Amino acid sequence: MPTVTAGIEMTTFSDETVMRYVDGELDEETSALLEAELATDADLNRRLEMFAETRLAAQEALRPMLDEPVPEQLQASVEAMVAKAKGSPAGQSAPIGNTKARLFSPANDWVRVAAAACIAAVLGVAAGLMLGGREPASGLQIAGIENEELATALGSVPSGDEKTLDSGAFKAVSSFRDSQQALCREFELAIANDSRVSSVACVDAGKWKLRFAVNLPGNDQDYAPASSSEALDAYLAGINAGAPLSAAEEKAALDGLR
Amino acid sequence: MVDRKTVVADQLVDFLPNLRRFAISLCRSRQTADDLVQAACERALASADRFEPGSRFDAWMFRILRNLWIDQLRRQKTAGVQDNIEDRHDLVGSSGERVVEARLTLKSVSEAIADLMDEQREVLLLVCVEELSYRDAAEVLDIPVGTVMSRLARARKNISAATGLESVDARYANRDGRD
Repeated sequence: MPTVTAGIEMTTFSDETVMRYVDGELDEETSALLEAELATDADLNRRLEMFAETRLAAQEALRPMLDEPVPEQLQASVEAMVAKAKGSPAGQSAPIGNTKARLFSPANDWVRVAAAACIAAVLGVAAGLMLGGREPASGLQIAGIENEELATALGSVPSGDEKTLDSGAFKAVSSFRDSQQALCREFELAIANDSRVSSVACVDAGKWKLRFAVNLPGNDQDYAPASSSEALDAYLAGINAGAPLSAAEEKAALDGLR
Repeated sequence: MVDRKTVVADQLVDFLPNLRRFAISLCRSRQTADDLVQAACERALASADRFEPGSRFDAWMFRILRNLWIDQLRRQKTAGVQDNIEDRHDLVGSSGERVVEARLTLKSVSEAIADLMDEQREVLLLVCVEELSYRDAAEVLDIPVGTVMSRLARARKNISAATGLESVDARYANRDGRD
């Protein structure tokens, strides 16, 4: 507490009044009185300066914390809950592909096991298609996508868009990063008549590799049956898939591949 | 009418750096702060219908986050967990020597802020750094405006004294005394 020594002229304004003046919280009338006294009162000037300086100093001292990048995990988690809150109901098209939240809550192991069993049944078929007829190197292992046309589509088609390929109608659903920060894309490939495959491919050592595939029965335009989408969701949760990238982030990520 | 949940959701991500800064200054640990921020965001979205459109979103969020923090402190107390003194020392200096040194040398402003009592630091942050009005700060902290003012004035005098702004004062005072 500053003490006002006897002999030094006491000002009529309390510290709190001076502080309120500095903070813009003092009524006009009192502000005018205070300003009038500033010209002659050194003590008032000092106190005013102190309150003004501490305000500025505090702002400057803590500004660097605003520039600290928000940890990716926190950012992704909040983005996911925001996306979920704004949730696009099934069938309604979202601005960028599938904005459905991919919360990376630790996936239940049994769900992943069940999903994996389901995936295994389908991956062989899908991989066969994408590898251009070649046998996948090894069952559930990550399969490289040798189909040039598909690899090009993965690297260029924005989520939400479609492109007709020789092997079928390609539809980019969303882009995200896995727990290793590898760029991944969820996409669908409609082959011939009744077969649609929903897949996830990620960039690994500069090449697109198939990580997951599940059959979506029928040519049903809007809606994947629960079992397929559950398997996909379980898979995404299992790899700690981050929230879908925004259109701009996706573009930057895809451009970065070239 | 605009959906309140959307109003809240739309502002949340952009507000993360400020929310995180406030959280770090409350709990002095980045790890704890990040958990707290995440919990506050969840709470905000869950109770978005209580956000008054047109009122200050930042004040509303700060209040949610701080209430969560207070709850957490209460739970820790009842569970017998001690306040982590280590964290405090991280920011200031723990050895006896350094304490002595700190008395002899002037502190940086951020050290001085870290040294403040919690109740002073939070009000300083809300008013001086986040630029809330006294009234908004009072609402965030659940205290009368008069208390905001007295804590804020003390916080600033303490910072001024710790960082040497007061030595400037003293110089003036001496000169005045001699004159």
